[in-house]
Amino acid sequence: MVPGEQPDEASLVEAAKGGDEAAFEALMRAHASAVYAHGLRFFGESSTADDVVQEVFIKVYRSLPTYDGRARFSTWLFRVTRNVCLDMLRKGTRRPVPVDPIDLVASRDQGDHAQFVVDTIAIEEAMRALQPEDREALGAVTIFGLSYQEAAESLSIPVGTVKSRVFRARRTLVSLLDTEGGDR
Amino acid sequence: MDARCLQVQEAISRAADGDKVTADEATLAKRHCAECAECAAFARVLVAMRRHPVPDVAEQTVERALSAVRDIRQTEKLETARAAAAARATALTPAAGEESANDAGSDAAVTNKKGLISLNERDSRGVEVVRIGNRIISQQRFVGLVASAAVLLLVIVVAADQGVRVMRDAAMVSEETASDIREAQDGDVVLDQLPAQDNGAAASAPSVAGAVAQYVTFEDRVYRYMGVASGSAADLSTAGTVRSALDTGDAAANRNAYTSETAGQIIIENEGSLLNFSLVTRTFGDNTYALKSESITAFGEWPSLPNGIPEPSSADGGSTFDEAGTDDLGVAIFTRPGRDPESGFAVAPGTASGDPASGNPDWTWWEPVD
Repeated sequence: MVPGEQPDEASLVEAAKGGDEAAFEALMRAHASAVYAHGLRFFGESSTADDVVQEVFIKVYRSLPTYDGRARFSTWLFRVTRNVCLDMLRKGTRRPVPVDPIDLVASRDQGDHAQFVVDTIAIEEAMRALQPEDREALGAVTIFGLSYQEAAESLSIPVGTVKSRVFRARRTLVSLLDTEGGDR
Repeated sequence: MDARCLQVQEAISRAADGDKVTADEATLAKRHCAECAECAAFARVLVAMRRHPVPDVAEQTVERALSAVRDIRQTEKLETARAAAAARATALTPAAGEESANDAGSDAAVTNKKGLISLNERDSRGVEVVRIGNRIISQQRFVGLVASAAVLLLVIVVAADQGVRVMRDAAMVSEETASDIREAQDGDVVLDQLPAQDNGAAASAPSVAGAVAQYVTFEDRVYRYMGVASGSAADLSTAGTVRSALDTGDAAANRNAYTSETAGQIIIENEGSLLNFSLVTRTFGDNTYALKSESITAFGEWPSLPNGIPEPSSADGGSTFDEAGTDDLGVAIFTRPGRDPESGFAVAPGTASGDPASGNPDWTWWEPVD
C-alpha cells in the first residue's frame, strides 16, 4: 500500500490477500468498531468484546486467502464475526450477560427523557434486551451495513424473516426507549 | 395499534435500512405520522438511533489485536524459513545410502543405489510409506524425522559459532537458507558473515543471534510469547512467579506473573513492560491438552519431556511409547504403555508448520487442561 493513498476497500482486500501488512491493518482498523459492537451486543461485556476483536482479526488473517470476493467484504466479515462469537459461546469460555428489561424500564423514568434516548449506555442496554436472533439481524443490517438479501444469505434465513426480525427488534427498542409513543 | 400503524412502521423501518419504499408508502407514512403519536414516536426514535453511533472500539483493543496478528505472521515466516532450511539441509545431506533419494526425481517408488531407502510406496491400507532397510514408517513421519534432522543441523551450526566446534564438519547451511531466515526475521535475528559454501564441504559456522523458541514454563506448563501487553501491573492480579532470562542473555531471574483476562494467557513483567504469553495447547477428542515441560529458563530453549518420562530410543516411540492414533489435527500421538491418551500423550518431533509443537526437535508431552 502506498503511504498517503486512500485505496478503496477492494484494493485493500486484494493487497491484504497478497501479504501487504499495512493494507491488512488498514482494512481491519476500518471495521474494528463493527466487530467490537457485534461482540459487545452479543456478550454484553466490553472485555469479552475486546477478545472478540482479537479472535476475529486472527481469523480474518488466516482465512483471508479463502475469501473469493463474491460477497462484499463486510458481509464476509459479519459471518466471520458471528462464527467467532458462536464458537466462543459453544466452547463455554464466554457467556452472554443477561439483562432484565424490567431494569431498563425502571431506569428510564429517571432524568430527562430526550437525554435518555440519545444516551449510548441506555441504547446498548436496550439492545441486549432484544431476542438474540432479532439483535443479530439488526446488527447485520445496521452495524455491518448488509442489505436484507446479504443478511439473509449470511444468516441462512429467508429475506422476509430478516425484515421481520429487524422490524421486531426496532419495535422492541422503541418500546423500551420511548415514553411518548410506544404501545405500552 | 391497528394494521395501518403496522404497515407504516414497517415501511419506516425498511426506509431506515435503505430498502426500497414506494412513493405511495412514503406519502402514507408521512400523513399517518402527522396524526398518530405512536408511529411518530417510532420514526423519531429511529432517527435518534441512526444518529447514535455504534459502540466505538478502544485504540488499545485494536492495537492488541493487530499485535497478535503480527506475532502470528512473524512466527509463520520463521516456520516457513525453517522448513525451507530443513528442505535444503536435507538435500545437502546424503541419507542412508550413497546418493540422496531426491536425486532420482521419479513419481514411482524411488530407491537409492544400495536399496536402503524406498519412497512413495504404499502399505496394505493404501497409506504412503517409506521403507528404510527392512523397516517401514509413514511418509508423514519420515518427513518429520528429516525435518528434525535438518533443525538439529542448524542448531549445531549455531553452537559451533559460539565456540562449540566439535561437530563442525557435520553442519552445512547454504547461503540461500541463511538468507531466508534473515528475511523472515525482519532484522530481529542477525545472520552475518555467512560463508559461501561448496556442497559437501565442511562449513565454518555462521552467527545466529536471537531465539526462535520463545517459551516460559509456569506451573510446569509451557507458554508461548505473544507480544507486548498493554496496561499496568498495578491493575493485574498476581498469579505467581516465572523463572526465565527471556531474551536478555542474562542468568534466569524470577519475574512476576499475572493472570490475564484472556483465558489461557498469563502476563509477565519484564523491566516495567508487560508481556503476553499464551498456554500452548492441542486438542484430542475435542478436549484440550496443555504442553508440559521441564523448566525452560530462557528463550531459545525448546520444551522437553517432563521428569519421569524417558526420551524414546527411536522415532516410533521405542519401548517408551505406544502409538495411539492421531489428535484433532491428524498428528500421531503416543502413550505410555498401557495408558489411555486421555490421561496424557506424547508427540514426536517434526510436526508440520502450524502445529503447536512445530519446530521442536524433541518429543513433547501433553496433559489434559483441567
